[in-house]
Amino acid sequence: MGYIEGIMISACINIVCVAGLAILTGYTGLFSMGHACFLCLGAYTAGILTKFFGVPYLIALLAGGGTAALFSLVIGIPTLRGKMSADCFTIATFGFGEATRVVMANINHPYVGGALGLSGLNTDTTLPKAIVIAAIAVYFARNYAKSQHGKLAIAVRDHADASELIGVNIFHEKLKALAISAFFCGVGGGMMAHYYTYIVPNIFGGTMSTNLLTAVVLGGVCSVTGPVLATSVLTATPEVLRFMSNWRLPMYGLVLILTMRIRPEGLMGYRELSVRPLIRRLRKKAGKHSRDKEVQHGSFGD
Amino acid sequence: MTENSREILLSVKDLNVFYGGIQALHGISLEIKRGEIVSIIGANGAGKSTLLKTIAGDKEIGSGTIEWNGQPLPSKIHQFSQQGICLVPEGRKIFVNLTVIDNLRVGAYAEKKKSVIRERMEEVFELFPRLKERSKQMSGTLSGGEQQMLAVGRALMAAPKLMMLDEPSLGLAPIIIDEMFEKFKQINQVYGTTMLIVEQNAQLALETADTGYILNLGTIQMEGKGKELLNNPYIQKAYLGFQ
Repeated sequence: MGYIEGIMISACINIVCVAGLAILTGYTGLFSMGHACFLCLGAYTAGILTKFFGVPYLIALLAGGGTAALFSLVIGIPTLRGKMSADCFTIATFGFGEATRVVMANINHPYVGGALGLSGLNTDTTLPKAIVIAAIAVYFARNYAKSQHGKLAIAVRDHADASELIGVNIFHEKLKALAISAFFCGVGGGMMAHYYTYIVPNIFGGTMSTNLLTAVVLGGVCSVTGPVLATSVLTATPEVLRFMSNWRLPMYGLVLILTMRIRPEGLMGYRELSVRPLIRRLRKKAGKHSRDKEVQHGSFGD
Repeated sequence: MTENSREILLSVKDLNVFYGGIQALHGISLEIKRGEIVSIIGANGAGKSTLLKTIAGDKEIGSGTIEWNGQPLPSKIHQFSQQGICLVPEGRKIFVNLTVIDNLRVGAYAEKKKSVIRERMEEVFELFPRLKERSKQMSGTLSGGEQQMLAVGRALMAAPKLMMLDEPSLGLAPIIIDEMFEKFKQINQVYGTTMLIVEQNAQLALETADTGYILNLGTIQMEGKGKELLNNPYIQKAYLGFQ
């Protein structure tokens, strides 16, 4: 497997996870510091299913997502209920993330493998599959965000109290966003397991959660394509900077700080990457025929 | 229909509400009849907003009862609007990152039928044509008056039986305030929506109201017909600035 191909598969896996997290953090405004635990649960579920039960890859991925979503309810129901603040949720996810990792490391059942992890999985996550799954994930996340669900999420994020007063069940909306983001991360975890071919609990630590969150914030809230773009850049940056050896992590930090200074709303804050403006521009150049029309639209363009 | 024959929609009895150890409302009792406009006026810190929040479920009842249509209030805040109680909060609190249309759609959260939602939206647009002109615009770019219209429109989308307005004149130009209060009367007459308005602008609030309450330091100091309160020398001196 080529080096570039490997980076691209990693990017696709991150895209799936970040597309989910964008719904939770970008749209609903809940910060999670422990989404790696959902990758962990998804990875183990999918890995165990394919290795010991011979379940097909795609079904195992969905099962991994399902498990993650189920566990997200365990953490979501007590923390999102009532008037508990968003900070509580963040801290709870942080704790849950660490706890999951430690619990997994201490289950010595042969299926799980304790701290040694699960090894000998098939390399089912090939580049074409990864790209297709990532595309589907982004498509679904975009659709969700553009639908009534996405609008409600923004309403809950901007004014939770006002939403509640006009009858929005904010607990439902938050829980829905959490479960969906967990599902996406579970699928991403399953893909990861079948790309690395082995998984140990320790890779699903706080760093991974932070990296996912970084991608969402860097990409911009209220955008799906922004975080997707950001995570691609973030996955590639450490590799591109590899020639700097020890200096590449500080440089990575510098890139983050610069983005915060220059574009505090994120790369694509409140906007989506779309080919439509490009098509419009091409058409404009193409012919005099449509010029009159375009002039009318000119003032609204961009 | 005479005043007395109207049935009671909301009845508050001996309501006490606390913020931690501080008591904000002391034994408030009031009755609101179906279809009337009620104004509550009072100085800052009199407990006006607290009273509205308590009726809307946003603040816990310390002791006492609030009966809605003869029934106790629901237990969860989001169920209040399904029951027909809707509060337009102080400072409007519209969703600035959503378009005008989407704000209205969120207001119809409990309604699943698309045809009903569309119908209600048409009604809101009829009432506030300005909102229709700006329907695709991000609501954060609206002017203050338009935002207030949107907040009222958003509440109307839930087809409330009781609409509560907390300081609807806050930060608006005088001419817009008059226009808003005309709209409130219109909503009341056309849809029969009962209105409970909390207002600093005592003159306007009492002119509009069928019944008025004067709230002072968490107790009801005076109540009566809106016009009568307007002519009351004490109120003229304390709240209307007459010498």
